[in-house]
Amino acid sequence: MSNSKNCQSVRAKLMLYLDSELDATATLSVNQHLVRCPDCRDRFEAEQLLESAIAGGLRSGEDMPDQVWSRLTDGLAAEVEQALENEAGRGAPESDEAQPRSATKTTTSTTTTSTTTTTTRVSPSPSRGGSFRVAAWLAAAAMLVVSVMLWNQDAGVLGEARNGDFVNQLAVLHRAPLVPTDGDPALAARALLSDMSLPASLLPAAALESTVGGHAVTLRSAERVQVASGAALDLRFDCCGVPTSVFLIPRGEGGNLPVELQGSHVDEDGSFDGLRTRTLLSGDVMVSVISEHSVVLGDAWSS
Amino acid sequence: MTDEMTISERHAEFVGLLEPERAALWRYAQRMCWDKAVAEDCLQEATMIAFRKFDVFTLGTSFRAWMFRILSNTILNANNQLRRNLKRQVLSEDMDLVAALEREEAYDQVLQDPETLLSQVSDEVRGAVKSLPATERMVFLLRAVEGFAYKEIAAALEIPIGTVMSHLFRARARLREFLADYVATEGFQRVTP
Repeated sequence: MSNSKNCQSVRAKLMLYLDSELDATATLSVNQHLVRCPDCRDRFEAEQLLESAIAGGLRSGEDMPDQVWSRLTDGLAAEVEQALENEAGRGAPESDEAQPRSATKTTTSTTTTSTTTTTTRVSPSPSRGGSFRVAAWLAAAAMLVVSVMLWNQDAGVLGEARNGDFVNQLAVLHRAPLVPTDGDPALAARALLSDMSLPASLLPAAALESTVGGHAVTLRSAERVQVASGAALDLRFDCCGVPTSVFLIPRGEGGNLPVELQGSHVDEDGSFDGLRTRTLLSGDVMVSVISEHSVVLGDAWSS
Repeated sequence: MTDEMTISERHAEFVGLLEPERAALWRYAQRMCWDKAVAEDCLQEATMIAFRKFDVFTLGTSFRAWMFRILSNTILNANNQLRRNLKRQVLSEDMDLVAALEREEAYDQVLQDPETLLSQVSDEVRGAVKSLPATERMVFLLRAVEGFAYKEIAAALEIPIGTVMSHLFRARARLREFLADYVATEGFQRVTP
């Protein structure tokens, strides 16, 4: 349960969290707190809405008027024309007939001035870091959860991450907060599995029994989430009263998790901000269990 | 850029990279200058500077960040007061604004339905943004409106990342203070569906 000290600590980081500027450990810590603390969660959502509303108001408005754009490109065209004239004057003709050097170029475009100069559009380069940022804000509310990854097809059971063997960082991006699923969460989970064309066996009966390995477990909610490699399912359990997440993550396109998610490591001593993590493969789906209490729930998928 | 490009090829490449950014650059210039003529002048100058320096731009890196850097410098050069503000040290005593706001009932009201409130006071909020110190405004616009990461803002404005964070923190605090003041003085009637 949260206390006021935790709340103060989290609120001090809330805007950094909103900006996705916290490191993986701090992100996980805030995320876990938000899951447990409705006051801080409400606060985060409200700040997020406020920021979005302010930015939205500033973002709206007219696009650059065409005449402004024309003046910009006219100025450039004049500069080019002058340079060409200078080169011609020096006896170094411009080789305008040269083939475009990039296959990404398309050929047409706009006459920019009364001169014969034309411009050729080039397909824009992918903006750097863009893929991750875009993904991170896909749902307008990004939350990061650290899980475990070692996406090795041959690994079968990947084991526990606490031993420091695994590259560790998987961003799970989903709308916050998780809310209890109306009705029967098991039914909801099965429906989501079906929607995602995943086998029903990914919700094993053992996980729905009242105890797993001597620990009392109850499925509380199921939600489809967005991870960087695509859609995933977030099953939220109570394990002896402690929130415990089980992420079911199908392999993404290309078979690997995105490179952006690599680079963070479990500490050598096995601690990860007090969290236990366990990752297994079930067919072509990664099962990642995260809990402050126990990852014994993973037994339901490993048996 | 590669040496073997002809000037026409370089021109084409440059315009091709510039066009996708035209809306964002225009928006940023306008929000910084608040005068369309000045904004256009700055944009024109920045575009020419960028084109002349395009041979040192490395393809594959962020043209967007590079272009915003040049535009920011152009805007700063157009107004020495803005540049002085950029170099000014952040005063720590201002950093408690958010903490103070959190205690205010009015701010709680702001957070109850920010979208409705903002839809009612969008012009006033633009005015509040306009009244921000220039550097805070730059940082806020690049982060909140254009989606730059902190390190990108630091590179674009050539300031330390800690200064980016300070400016952003204060800009947000000032805007929230403005909204809380608005609600406290004008009241705010939530619209229930």
